[in-house]
Amino acid sequence: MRIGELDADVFARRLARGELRMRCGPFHLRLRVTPRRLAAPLQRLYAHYPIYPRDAIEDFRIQLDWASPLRRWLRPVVRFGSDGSAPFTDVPVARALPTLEWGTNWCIATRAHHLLLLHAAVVARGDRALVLPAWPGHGKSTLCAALVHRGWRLLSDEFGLLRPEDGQLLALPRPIGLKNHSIEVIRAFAPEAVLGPQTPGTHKGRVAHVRPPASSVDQAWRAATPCWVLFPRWEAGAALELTPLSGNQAFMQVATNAFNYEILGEAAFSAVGRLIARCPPQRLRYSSLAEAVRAIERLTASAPAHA
Amino acid sequence: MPCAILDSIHSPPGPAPIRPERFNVEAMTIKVADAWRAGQASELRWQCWGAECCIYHIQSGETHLLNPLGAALLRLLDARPQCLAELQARLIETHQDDQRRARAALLGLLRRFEELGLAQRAPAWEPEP
Repeated sequence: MRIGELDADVFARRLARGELRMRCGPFHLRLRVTPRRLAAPLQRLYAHYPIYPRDAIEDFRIQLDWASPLRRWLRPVVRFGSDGSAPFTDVPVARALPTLEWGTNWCIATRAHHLLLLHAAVVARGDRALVLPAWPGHGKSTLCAALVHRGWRLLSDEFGLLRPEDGQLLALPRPIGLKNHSIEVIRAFAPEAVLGPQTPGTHKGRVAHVRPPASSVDQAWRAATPCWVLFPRWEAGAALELTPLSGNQAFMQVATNAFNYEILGEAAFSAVGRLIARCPPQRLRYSSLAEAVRAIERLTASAPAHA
Repeated sequence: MPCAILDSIHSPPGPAPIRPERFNVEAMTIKVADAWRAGQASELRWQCWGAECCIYHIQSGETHLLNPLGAALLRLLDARPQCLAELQARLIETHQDDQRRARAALLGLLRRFEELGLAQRAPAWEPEP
């Protein structure tokens, strides 16, 4: 059963009681969110995720509660928690939804060390994956959202889950976070995209999340082989430019951006090395999202270099 | 930052430190004057594209991006201990045209490698016949 198929009241009750169990890629997440006002937007955003059985092993237990009974009524403030700890400062309830998303990402980034967590968006055609590593602000999520609404399968917007043993990329199709003007860009580019509510005034500015397509969630069990590595960079007014990047530069950018490279050590060094050796890296500079998507379609229409 | 980038190492030139205990005073030859060797081969992992290389140093857990001169130097030291004069002779022809600048760059790299635990001054060493 999917979350979207639950009756709204049943969903809200499960969420408030900490009995909402959802599977996202390789992980089982159990949620408790007490502010009732978040139930409807969360059910919409998580609609396609399957519910896992009560007796399954839970990877992450995540809570978003009122910071105190008083703070439920007086300038309402919520607290993110995971397994009894509260790693962040309390936030106004108006910012609860992005806090829940970022907090969940934080839990994955700090605990899922059996995988190398690349800071990259990953999309795929069938089993062939395109890896998009980028620094914050370089347009990675916008490009990722655009591609998944042009037929690409979403593996991840934030984490490229690279399995060190075989170099395969696992899917973690979580909501895609958009910031500021990117929200309007995606609304115009893909009117069919389902976005959650906008949250102004966060440390990243105005944010909203795009719901992952049902087809991507349904195929979340399916790993993909990295075939292309592309470093996107959005620049206002820039002409489209696709240029090769040296393997060493690409290696260092991917390695220094990975969330747990140091923890995995030699295994991470080998995994990044194999990734870059397999997929000759390129840099994509663009200002027009439509042009960038067309360039990617052309690039990936032909067989990858190693095939 | 998980990785230390070694790409831009061009330490300012300076005299090589003289350590009396490393000189064989009687011979006063190249024999033990200034020999260097890499850490154990098993401590390094290499990924190279072109002349530059990324290396992973198992002992420290650090990753370094080596420029062409640094990569060539570490490979030479990884093969066997060598003295400064020999290293200079091998590297200058291919990587530098100015002898004084080349020597300074070489010394700078060796000192940096030593700080990072990638190379060390070798104990008594016999030049190959």
